Amino acid sequence: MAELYFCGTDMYHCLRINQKETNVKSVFKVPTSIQHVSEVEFNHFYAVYLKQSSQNQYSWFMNGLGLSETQIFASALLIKDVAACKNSIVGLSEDGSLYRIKLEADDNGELLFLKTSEIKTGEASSDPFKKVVANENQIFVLQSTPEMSSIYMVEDNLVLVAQFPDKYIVEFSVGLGHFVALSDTGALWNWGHCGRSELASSTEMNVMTVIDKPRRVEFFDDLPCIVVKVSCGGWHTLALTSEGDIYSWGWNESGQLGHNTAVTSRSDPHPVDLGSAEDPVVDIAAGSRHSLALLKSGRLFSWGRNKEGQCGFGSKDSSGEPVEISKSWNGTAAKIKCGKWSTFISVKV
Amino acid sequence: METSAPDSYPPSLVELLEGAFKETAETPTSQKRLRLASQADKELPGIPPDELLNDPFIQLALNRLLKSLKNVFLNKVTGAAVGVQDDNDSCKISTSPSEEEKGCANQVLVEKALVELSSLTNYTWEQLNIGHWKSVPRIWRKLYTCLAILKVCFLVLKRSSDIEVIKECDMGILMGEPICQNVLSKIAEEISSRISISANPKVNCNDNTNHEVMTMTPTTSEQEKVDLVERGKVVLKNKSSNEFEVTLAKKPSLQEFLSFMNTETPALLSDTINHWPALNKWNVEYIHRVAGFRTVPVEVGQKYTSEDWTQKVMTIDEFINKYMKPSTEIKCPDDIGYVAQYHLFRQLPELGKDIRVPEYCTLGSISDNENVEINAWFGPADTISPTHYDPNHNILVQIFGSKIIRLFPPSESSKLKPHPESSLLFNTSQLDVEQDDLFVAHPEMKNAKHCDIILNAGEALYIPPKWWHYVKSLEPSFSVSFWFE
Repeated sequence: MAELYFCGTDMYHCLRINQKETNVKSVFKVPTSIQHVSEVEFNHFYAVYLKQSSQNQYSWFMNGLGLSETQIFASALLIKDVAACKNSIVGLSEDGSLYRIKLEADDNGELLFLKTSEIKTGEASSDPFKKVVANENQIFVLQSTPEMSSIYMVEDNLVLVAQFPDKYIVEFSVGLGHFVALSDTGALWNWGHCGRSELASSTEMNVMTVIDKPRRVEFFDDLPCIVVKVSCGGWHTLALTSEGDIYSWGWNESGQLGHNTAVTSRSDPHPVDLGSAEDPVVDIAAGSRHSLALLKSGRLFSWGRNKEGQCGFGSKDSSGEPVEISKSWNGTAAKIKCGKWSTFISVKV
Repeated sequence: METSAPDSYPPSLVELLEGAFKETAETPTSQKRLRLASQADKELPGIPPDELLNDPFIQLALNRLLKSLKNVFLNKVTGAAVGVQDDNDSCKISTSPSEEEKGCANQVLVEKALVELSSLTNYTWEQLNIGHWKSVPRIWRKLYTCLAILKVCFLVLKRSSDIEVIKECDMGILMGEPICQNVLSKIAEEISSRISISANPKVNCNDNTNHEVMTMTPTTSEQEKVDLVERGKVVLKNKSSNEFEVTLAKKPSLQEFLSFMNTETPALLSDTINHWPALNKWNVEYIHRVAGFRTVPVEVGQKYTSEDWTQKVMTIDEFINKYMKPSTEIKCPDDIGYVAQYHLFRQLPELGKDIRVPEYCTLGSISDNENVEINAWFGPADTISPTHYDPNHNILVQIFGSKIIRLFPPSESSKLKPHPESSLLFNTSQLDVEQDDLFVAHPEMKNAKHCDIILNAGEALYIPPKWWHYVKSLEPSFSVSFWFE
């Protein structure tokens, strides 16, 4: 049995969190009307969540500005993974097909229309899709086998973004302008904008330059461990190693790198000082300008921007170094996830 | 000073907003409010045009905000029943509300709107920071200004302080686009003319003496000039064997100036800006006094090519206190702040009145003052613009303080090793002319043709197109550059 906790702002009542409560507490339980949620995507204007019910495993709902709770994707489609951006939602079904809901306002900008359609895979090979990922503006899908991995942008059709022959990409994360892919062997690639040091070990600092081909990050090759998970914030990246350490790089405008330094950006990955060997980091998550780490013991640390309360501190001050979130729940934090300016903590009761 | 083309946008909202602020420090009168409300309702959604169709939620949010703006206006004026939509609000209103209840409901609406506007502004700010400023779709900058206009409307309803309103106007001006006939600049000018004298009493106290001193010595004395030349030699080493003297021209005629342009000859011009009010009027204290609470972009770090270089937004008061206070300690690059290449006079037309576009600018291929790009460069000693060139003619005018400038003709380009053509810095040299072992690392620089110029207050330097220049301030300095084709 899991309970969902939240910190950040919920201005449009997407999660039915009482605004009054957010002024008093820093971390609060998501109301029971939205409990039994196992997956949630939240991008400020609306939230998409998977409610578990005994009859059906895959009941997705959306709620937010201009909407009341609406069921999306017919249960029969067996949608297991969803990514949401400003104007569309893409669902990945159990059999590996893609469905897209386009969000449109009417001419007066008053009413939202939801149009569902299946995405034609077209040129893409018949290999199964693995994962859908979104930033605010676009949605991407990862298709991978040990022989070939591809990343596409999902629009009316699929647009190829990057291809990795002979590589098995298992993790893929996207910032507002940069991309990171991780293979089964722990090899890392990144590409995209680099003006705010988004790309690891890149000597290019030019804000105009866009690296359009994946570039291998060699920094981790010399370490005795491999990268097992990556998470992109808006302009920064967190990488979790098999030793349970976090490395971060990119923009440090709000202290989101957690290095306790005034440096505004850095492209050289640098460890975040956290916990110890006995209590390694087991999960990471990055929001637009904040970061989160879950330790094996269930302790949670966050750093970066906190103006919207996304770090879950008592104050609304941002922090350039990790601060432990004081535990206000019964049970153990088991899963973490960041929205744009928010944080979700899934607690095992 | 205003160079942007007139907006096709109907002026009524602009006029109303201006009128509202002109009256007194009070909020607008009821009748004007009503008109403003209906205009805002009709026109503001037109500001972010069809491009926003891609963003249904922002459209929705803007529509709602406009509705609540209208509600607040209308409720005050007509006394219509107030329906507060949100069940979370403490202010529940009956169908026949008392004045007090209406006021409370309006206050709640205004507060909620301001919170929502600041999150939408934050959302837009993040979009503005994806990739390079120049490649960001214009719609986001328009939206930023649109949100600032809405914020100003709500701040006025809230009876916020002038300083708060001005700050909002400035952010809308410097992050956004001059939509709506640059209404934000007009509002800010109107308010600042009202409050400038009393805004910074601390500065006013000791201003008189300083101002007098500056009036008596508007330009640099002969002895000071000699001292500066000596300092310049120390500051700028690595003189090549191929140094030449800059052409001096005392108040050249248009004919003479045209020959400098035609022969691509840089020239140090004296006695050409004696008639500028700025020359006798401006100093650090004066800028502080008239514009202390205005918000401007500041470049932090010694050069724009440094890795730790960044841009911050702060008020001129904060800028002067942080970066222009004399300090005996050796500065680290982080301590250098520079208001550089900024269209300050578009934001502060009242300062623009103290300068004149040089007549020489009419000699360009487009002899129209509208096509002259005017930028302000205001900062402490030791600000550096690394060796670079600009595509247009440039008249760099020194209003106070002094700068040292090293010029290289376009023929020396290959020696200066520009950044690759594909990069944004294609017009910037990869060399640091101050580097100790420059001649060892780059022996070809030993005979690079160049000249060194000290630009003093009251003087102007003509830099022909494509001429490389390295610029460093020797003391607190204010320069204005005029770029023309």
